[in-house]
Amino acid sequence: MTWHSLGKAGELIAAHFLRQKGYRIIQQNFKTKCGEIDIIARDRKKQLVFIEVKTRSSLHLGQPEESVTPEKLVHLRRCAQIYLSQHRLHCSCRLEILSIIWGNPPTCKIIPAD
Amino acid sequence: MIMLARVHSFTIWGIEGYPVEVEVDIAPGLPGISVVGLPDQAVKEARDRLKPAIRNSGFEFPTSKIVVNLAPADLKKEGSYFDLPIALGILKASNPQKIAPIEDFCFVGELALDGSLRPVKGILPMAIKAKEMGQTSLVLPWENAEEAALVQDISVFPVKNLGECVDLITGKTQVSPYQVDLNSLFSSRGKYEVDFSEVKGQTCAKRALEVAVSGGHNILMVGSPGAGKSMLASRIPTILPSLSLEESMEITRIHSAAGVNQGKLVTTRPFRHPHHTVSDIALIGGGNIPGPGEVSLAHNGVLFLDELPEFHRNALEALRQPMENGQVTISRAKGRITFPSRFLLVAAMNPCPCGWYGDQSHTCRCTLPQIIRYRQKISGPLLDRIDIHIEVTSLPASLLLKERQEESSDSIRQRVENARKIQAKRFEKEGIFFNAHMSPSQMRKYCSLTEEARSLLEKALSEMHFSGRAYDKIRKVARTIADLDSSETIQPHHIAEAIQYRSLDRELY
Repeated sequence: MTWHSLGKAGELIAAHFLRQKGYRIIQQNFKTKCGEIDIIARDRKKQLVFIEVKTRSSLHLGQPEESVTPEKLVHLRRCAQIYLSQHRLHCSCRLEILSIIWGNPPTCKIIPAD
Repeated sequence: MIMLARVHSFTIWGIEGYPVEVEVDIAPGLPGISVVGLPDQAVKEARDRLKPAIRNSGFEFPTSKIVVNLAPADLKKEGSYFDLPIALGILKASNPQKIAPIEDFCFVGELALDGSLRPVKGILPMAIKAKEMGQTSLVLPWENAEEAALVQDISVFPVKNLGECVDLITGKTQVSPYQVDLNSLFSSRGKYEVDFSEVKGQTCAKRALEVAVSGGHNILMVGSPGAGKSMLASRIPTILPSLSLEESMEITRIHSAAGVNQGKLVTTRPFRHPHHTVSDIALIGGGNIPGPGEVSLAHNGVLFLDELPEFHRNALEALRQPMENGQVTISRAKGRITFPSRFLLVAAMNPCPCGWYGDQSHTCRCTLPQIIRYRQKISGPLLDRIDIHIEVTSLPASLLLKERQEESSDSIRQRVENARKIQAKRFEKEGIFFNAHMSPSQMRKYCSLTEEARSLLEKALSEMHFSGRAYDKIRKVARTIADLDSSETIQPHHIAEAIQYRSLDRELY
């Protein structure tokens, strides 16, 4: 499996996992000129959540969430702001990282990103 | 589960230890460490040292968000003191059951990537502060143990690495506190590597230095290159009275804060000789977080300024306050710090820019205006504070080759100590230590001249055009010379000798 297909597979699992957790997915792969947001969803309490999915096939290079650098977070925030202004939204929102370790079954973990 | 740990530590503020609480909180979130509480670059970089250090010591580094707070939050923290307390805080917060209470200990130390500990500076002031605060145990790197143990009544636990430190606080290994015998350490005090018996001839200069040291008079040596000014100056500490234990601790404390004592008790008087390009800040102390300068490092010792006219003018002018008050106060936006600076100023200069004015074997190539301009680089107020000026002439070849027994530093020091004892008795209730610091009223009281001495001084004043300032200096120096002679009153020959020590007040031609 190439890194690209691993990422794609990860995002599929992520969507499934989030639905199980009671999230309602609004949009996947929201693209802007600053980058991309993997999943935009609303949780059980209807709060808007921007989700970055990180998938790794092994722990040789550390936990998936460790690869999210402060610079990456800055990009994600900027994308989120673009989404909010495009949709003229003034609601509270948050940013989360969904860390997936590939396996059978894969393990998923939601981590708040601030 | 509470993921919070609190660890006691210290930082340095001037030459004082300052207690710092290191708080570590571990919460769910993206893995990373943020350090708050005004850390400087060295403290911030601890973040990157911590992970390898903890992992390589066989512990697990939590993959969560770690917030480290250094309280009080408004005090700037510098240095690498907090590596060890932060590491322990992380271990404690992520593993509260495994690691025993750490509130009874204070920790300081820098971590290497393999988890071993590196020494830090400023340990003695921290240990003194710990004792004042009633802390009983201090855990620190091995290299710092001796210095910390100089403070009695606190237990010093030296450790080699992080693992050993954890074993110590969990009680896995029993360690007895490191102890030093302060008195034996002090009595085996360091010997000086130089001695006055190595200086051939220069009897006049040696005598002048003996007078200067006895009465605490600052001294300026004028002489051509190679005459032996530096050689003489570097031997002055050997004739200063032996250090008392309190003085020794005082010096060690300043040197420790500046990180120049190599973790040892300083048992010899300091001899500082900054290069003439030194800045005013390096000389009197300062910086963003004020640290001691050369004048404070020379406390209880000698500050030697070679090539005095070459020093920057603002550096020389900055010397005035520390010379006057025996201490220097540095004010910065971050606060005010006072450093002690009781030192003997010894300066050396050439008589003229080319260096050969007045020399027997060379001809001077300087014009009179050049010489005057050269000498004017030293301001009047500074010259005011220098009681003794002498000329150091180069030795003729015949004397240089002659083998002769010169007087040793030990025998000169005995005379100096004697003269200082007389002064200590005289100024018991006056609040000063040396003849050099006498006020005009004290001079009237203690510098009684005999009739012949008075007439000699009057004659000298009128014939050699001495100023009123020179008149006072001569009387003070004459008092010291009389003390060296164990004489109650000032005799004519004391005055005569003192007049010799005003060479810069005389006309050039």
